[in-house]
Amino acid sequence: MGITLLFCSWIVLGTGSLLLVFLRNRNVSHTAGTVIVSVSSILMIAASLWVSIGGGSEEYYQPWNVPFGSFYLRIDPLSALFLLLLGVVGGLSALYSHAYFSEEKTHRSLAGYWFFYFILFGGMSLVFTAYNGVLFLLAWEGMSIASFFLVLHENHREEVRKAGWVYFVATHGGTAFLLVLFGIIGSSLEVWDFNAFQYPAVGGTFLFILACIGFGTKAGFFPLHVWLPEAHPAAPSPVSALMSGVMIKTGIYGIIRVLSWAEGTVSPSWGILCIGLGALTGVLGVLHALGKRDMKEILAYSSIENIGIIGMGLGVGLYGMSRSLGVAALLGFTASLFHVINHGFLKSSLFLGAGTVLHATHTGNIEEMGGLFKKLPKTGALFGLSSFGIAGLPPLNGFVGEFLLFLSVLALCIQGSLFLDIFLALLILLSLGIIGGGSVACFTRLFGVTFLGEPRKDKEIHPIERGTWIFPLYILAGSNLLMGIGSLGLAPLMFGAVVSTLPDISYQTAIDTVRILRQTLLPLGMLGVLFLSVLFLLYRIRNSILKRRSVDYSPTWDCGYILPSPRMQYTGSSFSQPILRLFRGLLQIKEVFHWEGTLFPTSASYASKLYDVAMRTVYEPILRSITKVATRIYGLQEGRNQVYILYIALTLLILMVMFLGGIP
Amino acid sequence: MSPILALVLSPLLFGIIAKTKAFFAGRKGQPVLQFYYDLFKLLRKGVVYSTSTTIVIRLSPWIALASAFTALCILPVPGHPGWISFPGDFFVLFALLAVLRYSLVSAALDTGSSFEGMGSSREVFFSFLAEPALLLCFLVLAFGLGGYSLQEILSDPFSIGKGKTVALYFISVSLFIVLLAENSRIPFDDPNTHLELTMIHEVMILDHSGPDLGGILYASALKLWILGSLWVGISIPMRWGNLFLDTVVFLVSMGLLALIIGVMESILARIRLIRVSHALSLATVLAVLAFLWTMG
Repeated sequence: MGITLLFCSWIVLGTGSLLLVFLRNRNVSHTAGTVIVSVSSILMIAASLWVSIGGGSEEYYQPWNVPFGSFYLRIDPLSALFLLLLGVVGGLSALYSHAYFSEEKTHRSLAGYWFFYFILFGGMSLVFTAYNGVLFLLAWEGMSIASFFLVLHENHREEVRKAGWVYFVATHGGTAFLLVLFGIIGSSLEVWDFNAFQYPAVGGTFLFILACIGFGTKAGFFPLHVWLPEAHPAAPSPVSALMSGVMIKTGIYGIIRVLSWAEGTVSPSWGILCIGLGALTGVLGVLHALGKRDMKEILAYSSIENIGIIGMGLGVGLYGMSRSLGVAALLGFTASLFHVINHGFLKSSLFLGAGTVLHATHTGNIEEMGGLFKKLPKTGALFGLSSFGIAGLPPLNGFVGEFLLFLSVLALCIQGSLFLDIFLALLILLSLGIIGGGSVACFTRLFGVTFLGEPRKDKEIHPIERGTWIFPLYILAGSNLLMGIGSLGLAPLMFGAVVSTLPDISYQTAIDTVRILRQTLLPLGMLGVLFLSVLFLLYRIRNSILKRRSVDYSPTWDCGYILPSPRMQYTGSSFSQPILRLFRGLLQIKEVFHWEGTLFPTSASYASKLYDVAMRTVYEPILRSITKVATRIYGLQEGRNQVYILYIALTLLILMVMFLGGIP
Repeated sequence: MSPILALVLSPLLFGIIAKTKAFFAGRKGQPVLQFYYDLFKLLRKGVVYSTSTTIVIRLSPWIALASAFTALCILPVPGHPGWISFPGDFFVLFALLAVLRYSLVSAALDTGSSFEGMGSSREVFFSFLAEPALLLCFLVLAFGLGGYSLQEILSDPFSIGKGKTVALYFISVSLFIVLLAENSRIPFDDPNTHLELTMIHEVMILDHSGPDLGGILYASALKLWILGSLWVGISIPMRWGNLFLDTVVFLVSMGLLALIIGVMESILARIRLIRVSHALSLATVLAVLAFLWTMG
């Protein structure tokens, strides 16, 4: 039944894309696209829930005459979990797209947008369900290419074309590693079906590194993350929401799927690699997010930070598996899957909110914003709630993921005996501390500078928040709160996905872990309810007190200065400057300071910009040296046919000499 | 029982601190109960809201107070177990303090004042440095004592074993530094100045008034109580197993803590802002040292 529902969902997409060809009218095709994705996503959610509630898994097999290929689909609890995320975020982003593009003042057809949206949406669902290497790679490519075209939607802007180029190179670089990975694992097989895949006894670490690079590029592990901060600001907001909420998680899905073939061969080095990568990604992600000024770029770096948290969870899981610290391992994997879902919901709501802000202000620069809360009260409140959640604060869901990770670290620390166990626990905890403090700073800054205070620039605002502009945000924010409080009800989904996918988990460990989950998540939910009810009560008391008191309004107190102007407000850059200054050795900050240096005040100027450290220190030097070599060789390319014929003749001559000279 | 103690007695800490400082300055000083009078006075006043502000500043004192109250529910003090105890609850406590901070910082940014912006920037910076130290302190205790919850850790930290008690001293110092920084005391912040360049916590609440200000002040008293009782739980080794004796010892120790803070505020100057990061890194380093000690 689950498979049937999934097929229905694909059939709706397929017929829908045919329908789009015949719909000439922009508005009609736009509405049709929205409806088609919504219907398809409802079917997908139904398929996912059917399988997860049923608890088992469903399969569909059809031979295929493509070399190594077969049409093998399988929805197991892991797939169902990711399908659920895709269904919800994909459907709501489609609804938001409807609002987002109807305000555009062009007659450009949206058929192309919807066509690629269908492919991206369908392709991701195929990635999550494909159970054959060739089918998986095809779906992976379809997803990547469709998202490339969606990023390029506003291709009249130059920075969008540049971002699309970076994304294209990055995603294909990643796919190349996957091709090698599947090729090596499946080298002795006739058909690349996943259930036949098995890690070789030796060289498993090499394969795992390949997987980490290939899938890590999509997920955004440092230093493979460089495409994220380029592509997200360039893409239309609903696409950013879908990409950041779901698509980067396909990388995490891939890594977990690959691990299911690694029975008995997991080595501690994998876990150490994942923890190290995760810690690096998380810390650098949050530091970059603090230093950026473009709203969507900040959100992109925050996604990288959260991928770091997810990576650390995977790392604890792997390390625990290899050291047979079962409870720590299960908690680590559950934490990372929980955070996948959390981050998917939180980040998509933030990106959709950012879309409304972008539309209202026509700029992404937070230093030109301020005071938007009064213009966009609903969006502001929901954006504020999601910021609160993604900063990892209770009672929202962002906290639950970090809490589970913390629990796994605690288990690692107490069960483990080696120096290495404790050292890794220390590393994760220190990074979690930095990430926690950093993300509170980052999101108070983002929310405070954009929505609170006074407008920093005098310009026209076009606030719209009705219908599908705001509806998806309500759903997402509401589910974030529910997931935070009812985490106990949700955890079995993640736990089930881990237990059913990964080998080497004993029954006793599973029981122990379930007990810990129940012991912790139930009181956590209770505390959440307590917090909310105390807050509600206190606010009611405050209201009833203030009814009997005077409530006056006056300008903000500025210590007696009589002409405060909005330009005097603290900016986002100055807000985060102390933290960035502390880490200036680690980051690439360029500061330009101009001052005549006389005794009396003269004009002075200061500018600072944060560059991506990986782009600056890894990729740019490499690309520069490649270009250098290439320009040297470039001289050979003369452009005259005679010279080229000379080259051919020379080559033949050399070959003949070698042949005659007996050089093999 | 312990949350009620906190709700009733926490404002007294400020009274003791003020009295100690007055003694050092050779003044008579305000009454010990002054903070209670202030709270009641504020509850009876009206409010003035800045025209720049939104619902955020109206909600923030109550979010702060609600999170402090929730934290009290999981906080065990000597002789009194917390109302709710579960594995990893100290991470929740830690996050609830972050909620408190988040609400204050957002409210400060809500006014659009550059002073309050500056204060909130420093607040997030200092807590950014203090958080890793605080987390590590808990991890050392959890690891050293093999306990998963605050209850298990604080019931008798000195059972950590011979040769490892040194770790407890390190943690005690580290936690004390964090306590001073998180509660905006000297040498990190001067709660008495009204000059914008030196203050952090005081500047963030410039635009709060009336019951709102009362709520925030009360929340900050509770925060001092929470971190203070954690410090007392770790640093004062006396456990009698008798409810009455334990409570008395605990309350006397809390008074002692307030006295120590008062003495420190009288004899120390505020350190330069640049140096704050050094002092807070010291807390983290001490916690790491304690960690290594427990392992050895």
